[in-house]
Amino acid sequence: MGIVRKLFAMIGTVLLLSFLTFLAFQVIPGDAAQVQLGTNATPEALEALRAEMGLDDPVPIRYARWLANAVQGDFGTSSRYRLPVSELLSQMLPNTLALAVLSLFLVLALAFPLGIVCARFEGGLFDRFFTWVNQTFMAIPSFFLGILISIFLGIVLRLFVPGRAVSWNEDAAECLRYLFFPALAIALPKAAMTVRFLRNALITEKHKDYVRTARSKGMSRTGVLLTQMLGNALIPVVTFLGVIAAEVLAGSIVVEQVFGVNGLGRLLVASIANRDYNVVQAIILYIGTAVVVVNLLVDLLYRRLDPRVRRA
Amino acid sequence: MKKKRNNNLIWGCFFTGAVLLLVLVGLVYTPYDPDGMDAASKNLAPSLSHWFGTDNYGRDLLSRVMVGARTTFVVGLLTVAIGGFFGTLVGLLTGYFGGWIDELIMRLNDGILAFPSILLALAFVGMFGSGEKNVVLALGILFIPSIARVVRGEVLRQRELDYVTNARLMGASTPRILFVHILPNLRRTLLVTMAIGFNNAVLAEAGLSFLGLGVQPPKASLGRMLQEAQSCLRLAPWYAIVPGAVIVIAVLGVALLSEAFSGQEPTAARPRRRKQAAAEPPETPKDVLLQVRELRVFLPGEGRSGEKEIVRKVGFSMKPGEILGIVGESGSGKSMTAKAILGLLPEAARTEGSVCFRTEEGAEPAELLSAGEGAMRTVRGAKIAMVFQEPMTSLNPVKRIEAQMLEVFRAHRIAGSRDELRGRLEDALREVELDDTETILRSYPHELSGGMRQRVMIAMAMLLQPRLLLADEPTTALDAQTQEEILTLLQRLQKEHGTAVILISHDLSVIRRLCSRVLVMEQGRIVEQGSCERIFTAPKEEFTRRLLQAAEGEDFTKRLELPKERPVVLTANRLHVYFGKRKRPFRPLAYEKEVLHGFSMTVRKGDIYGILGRSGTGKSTLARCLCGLPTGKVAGQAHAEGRVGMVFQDPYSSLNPQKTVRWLFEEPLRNRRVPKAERRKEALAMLAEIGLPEDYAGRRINELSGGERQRVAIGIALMSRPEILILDEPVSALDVTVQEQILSLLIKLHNLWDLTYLLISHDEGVIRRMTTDGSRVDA
Repeated sequence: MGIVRKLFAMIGTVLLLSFLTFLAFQVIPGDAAQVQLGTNATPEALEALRAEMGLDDPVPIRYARWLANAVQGDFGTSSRYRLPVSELLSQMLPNTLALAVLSLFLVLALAFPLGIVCARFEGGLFDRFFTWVNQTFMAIPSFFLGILISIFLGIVLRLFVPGRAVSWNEDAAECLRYLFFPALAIALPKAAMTVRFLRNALITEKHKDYVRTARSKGMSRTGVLLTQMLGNALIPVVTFLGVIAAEVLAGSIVVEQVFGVNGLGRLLVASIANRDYNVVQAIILYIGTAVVVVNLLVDLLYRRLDPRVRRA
Repeated sequence: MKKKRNNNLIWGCFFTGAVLLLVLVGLVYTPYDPDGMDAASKNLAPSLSHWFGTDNYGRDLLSRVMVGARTTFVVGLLTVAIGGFFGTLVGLLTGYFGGWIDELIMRLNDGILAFPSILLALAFVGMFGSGEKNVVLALGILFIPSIARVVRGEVLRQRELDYVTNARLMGASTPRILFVHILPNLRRTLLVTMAIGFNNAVLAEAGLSFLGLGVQPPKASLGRMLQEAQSCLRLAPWYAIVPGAVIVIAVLGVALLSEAFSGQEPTAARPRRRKQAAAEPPETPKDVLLQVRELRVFLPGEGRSGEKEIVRKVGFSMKPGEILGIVGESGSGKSMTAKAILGLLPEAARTEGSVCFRTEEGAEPAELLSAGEGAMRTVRGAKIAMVFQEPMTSLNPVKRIEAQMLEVFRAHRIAGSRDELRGRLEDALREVELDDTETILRSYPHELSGGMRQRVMIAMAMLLQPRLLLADEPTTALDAQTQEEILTLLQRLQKEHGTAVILISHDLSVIRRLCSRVLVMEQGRIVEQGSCERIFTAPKEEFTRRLLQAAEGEDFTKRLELPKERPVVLTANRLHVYFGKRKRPFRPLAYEKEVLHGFSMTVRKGDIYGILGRSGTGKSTLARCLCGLPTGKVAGQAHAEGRVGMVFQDPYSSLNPQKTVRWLFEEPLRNRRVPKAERRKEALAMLAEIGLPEDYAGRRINELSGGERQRVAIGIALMSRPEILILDEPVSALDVTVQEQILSLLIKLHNLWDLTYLLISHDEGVIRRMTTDGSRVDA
C-alpha cells in the first residue's frame, strides 16, 4: 500500500517538475519562432511559423501536447545542432550514466571498509589520520581534484591522456578505463563524506543500550559492530547515500568538463551558453527524474532496513 | 589534567586567517595590477618576482588570486546573508505556528533539498542567464530551505520544552518568546549551518564560474581562474594549483571552525589502557561465589589527577544462590560496580582492586579485573549474565527476538541443529512465562510490551544457566503491576536454579522484598552493609536512616496551616479534552483520542489538592487547561479564582539553560514593566525565600543541580504572585533525599504565602503525605 502511494507521489513529482521546466523554458524565454527565424524576419513569416508550431494556443494545451510528445521520447529539436534532442541525448546519456555508476561504486567500495575500521578503532592512529584525510578531501571541489588528477596522473605519470575521452557507444571497455579517472575525481570527496558519516553513525550506536546487552552475552567488539551496530547505523546512512547519489550526478556535470567526456553535463553547459532551451529542458528533466527515482529507491531500502517503519 | 587542546579550533583559525589575510591585503595592495597583461612575462613559473607565477596573459597570479578570492568570498557571504536572514525567519515562524503553511513550506523545502544546489543553480542560471548577480541570487534563494529546515526543527524541539510554556506563563508575548527566549538557544546551530552554507556557496560559485556561467571575464574569481588555467595545464600547472589551493584552504578552515563551534569533541587519542598487574589474589573462602576487594573505578574527569573516582574501595562477597541488594541514589556508583564485575565499563575507565569469581562449583576462583577480553567473553553471558533497566533500548530494534537470542549460543560457540537450538529458546521463554513462543521469537522488540521485553531479556540472560545474574534496576521502567510480576519471576528463577542475583535498585521496597543482604552506597562508597532485616529495622548510618525516612516519608500535612475562610478557588466541571483528528465530520466530540473523560473537582482556598494517576492519563493536560495554556479540544468548564502559577516536572527542560537565575526571576516583572531597581530587589528577596544564597543570582541555569533548579522553578512561579500553584510532578525527577527538601520547602511557602496547591503526581506516597483532598485520573 505504502509503496503504491509512494509511486504515485513520485509520478506526481515528475509531472510537477516537467510542468515547471515547461513554464521556465517554453513560456518565459519568449517566442521560439522569433528565435528560430532571427530578428529580421517578416511579421507574416513569424505569424505562419507560430501557427505551425502551435504557439498561439493557451499554455495548458501546449503543455499537454509537449507532454504527449515527451512521453514518447520526443523533446523537439535542438536549435543549435539541428538534430532531434532525443538523438543527442542517446549519444550522451550512456557516458554520463557510466560515469555516475562508476563513481557511486567507488564511493561505496572506499567508504564502507574505511568507515567501519575507523569506528572500530575510534581514537586510534588510523582513525585520527583518516579524520584529517576526510576533512581535507571534503574541502576539495571535484573539478579541482579532476585538474590535479589530470596533471599528476595524466601529464606527469602518463596513466591516461587528459581530454582524449572514448565514448561508451564506440568502445565500452576503453570508455570505462578512461572514465576511472574522472570517477575518482567525483568519488573521493563524496567517499570522504560517507566515511565520516558512517563512522559517526556507528559511533553513535556504540553507546546504545543494546550494544551493552550484546557484549554482556559474550560477543566480541568486532562481532557486535558487524552484526548489530551496522544494521542500525545503515538506516541513517542509506538516507545519506541518497543525497550522495544525487551529488554524484551533479558532480559529473562539472567533471565531464574537466576531462572532456561527452556527457549530459557538457551538453547542458554548452546548451545553456547557446540558449538551446529544448536541450536544457530535456536534460534538467532527465536529471530531475533520476534524482526522484533515487529518492524512491532510498525510501524502499529504508523500509527494508527498519522494521519499525515497515509495519507502521 | 591539562586542558584539552582543540586542534580543530587552532587549525581552523590558522587556515581561515591565512586566506582572510590574503584577501584583506589584496584590498589595499597588490604586487602587480591584477588585470595588467604583459606578453613578455607569459606563463612564468613561481619565482621571487612572481611568487605564484603568471598566467598565459602574463598577469601576476598572486595579485589575481587576491582579487579572485575576494569575489568568491563576497558571493559566499552574500549567499549566507540572504539565506540566513530569510531562512531563519521562515524557520522560526513555520516552526512556532505550524499548521498547513508549515506543511506546505516544508514539502517545498524537501523537494528543493532533494536536488544538489549546483544543479538547481544551473537550472536557475539556465533560465535567467549567467552572471555574478544571478549566481548570488540563485545560491542565496536555494540556501533558504536548508537554514529554514534546521531552524524549524530546532524550534519544534524547543517549543515542546517546558521552558517555553514557562515563559508564556510569565507573561511573555509571542515575538518575545521567539526572539528573546528561543532564538539565543539556536545560536550555535545557526552558526554551524551558516558555515556549511558558506562552504557550499564557495564551492558552487567556483563550479559555476568554472563552467563559464558565473563570474564573467575579465573579472577574476577562483572558479574563473581555474577555467582559464585548464587550457594550459601542461605549460603552467601552477596556474590551476594556486586558485584551487586557496579554495581548499578556505573551505577546510571554515569547516574546521564550524566543527569546533558545533561543540563536537574532536577525535581524541584513545587513552592507553594501563594493563593492571595481576596481583596474587588473596585466599577466597571455599563457599564464596564472588569476592570483591577494594574495587576502585576511575573515569577521566576534571581535577588534579585528571580522574574522577566513581567507585571508592568497594568490597563485599557473595555466596552461591544468594540475592544481594545494592541500594543508593543515582550517581552513587552502584551500576558502575556491576559493570566493573562484568568488564563492561567505558573504554576510558581505569580500575583497581580485585574481583574474584568462582566460575564452577569447587573450581579455583578467577580474577576478573585483570582478565583479558577473550577470557571475559567466556564469562559474560555464560557464567555471569546481566539484565538492564530499559528493556526497549536494551534489545536491538532491527533484529528479531530469535536472532538476538541465538547470538548467545553463537558467542559461546554452542553448536546444534536449528530445531535443537530453537527448542532451547522456547524452553527458556516458557520458563519466564511467555507461552506464545512462536510469535515472540518472530517478533521485533517494538512489537512487544515493556513487561514482555523484560521477560525476554531475563530469558536471554538465563539461557546458559549463569551462576550470577546482575539485575540493574530491572523494574524501574515498568508499571506497578508488571514490576510485581517481574520481581516474583526473578525470585522464582533464583530458587529453582540456585542462581545468585545482585539486584541494583534505588527503590527500597524492591530491595526489601527480594534480598537477604543489602549494601547501601553513597558517592561511590559502601556506607553500610548487613542483613536486610538489620538495615531496615536498625540502620547504623545517618545516610541509611535518611534514605529510609525518605522512603517511609514524613506526613507533611501535619505541618500544614489552613486559613480560616475557605472559599472555593478552583473548579473543574465535567472536563473533557480531545486530541487528534476529528473522526467523523460534523460530530463535535468524535476525535481520535480522549485524554480526560469528564473530570470534575472542587478545590478550596488553602487546600493541597492531589491528583494521582499513571503517566499518559491526562494529568499534565489538566494542568495546561487550568493555566489557560493551549491544549487539545476542550469541552466542559474549568475555572480558577485568582492568579495561577505552575511548576513543571523536569527542571532541566522547564528553565532556559542560557539564562541566569536573576534574569529568569525578573522576566515576569519585566513583562509587567516593573522598573529595574525594584526588579533587582524582588529577585534577591525571592532567592532568600527559596533557600538559595545570594550569589546564585548571577549563575546560569546549566550550572545548577536538579534540586537547585527546582527551587528556582518554584521561585519563578511565585514571582508573578499567584494564589494558586499547580505543581506538575514537582519532585519525580529528583533523588529521594532531595525530594524531601523540596516538599518541605513547598509546605513552608504554602503556609507563608497563603497558597493553594494542585499537586499532580504518579507517586502515591507523595500524594498521601502532602495532600488534604484529591482524586484520581485514570485512563
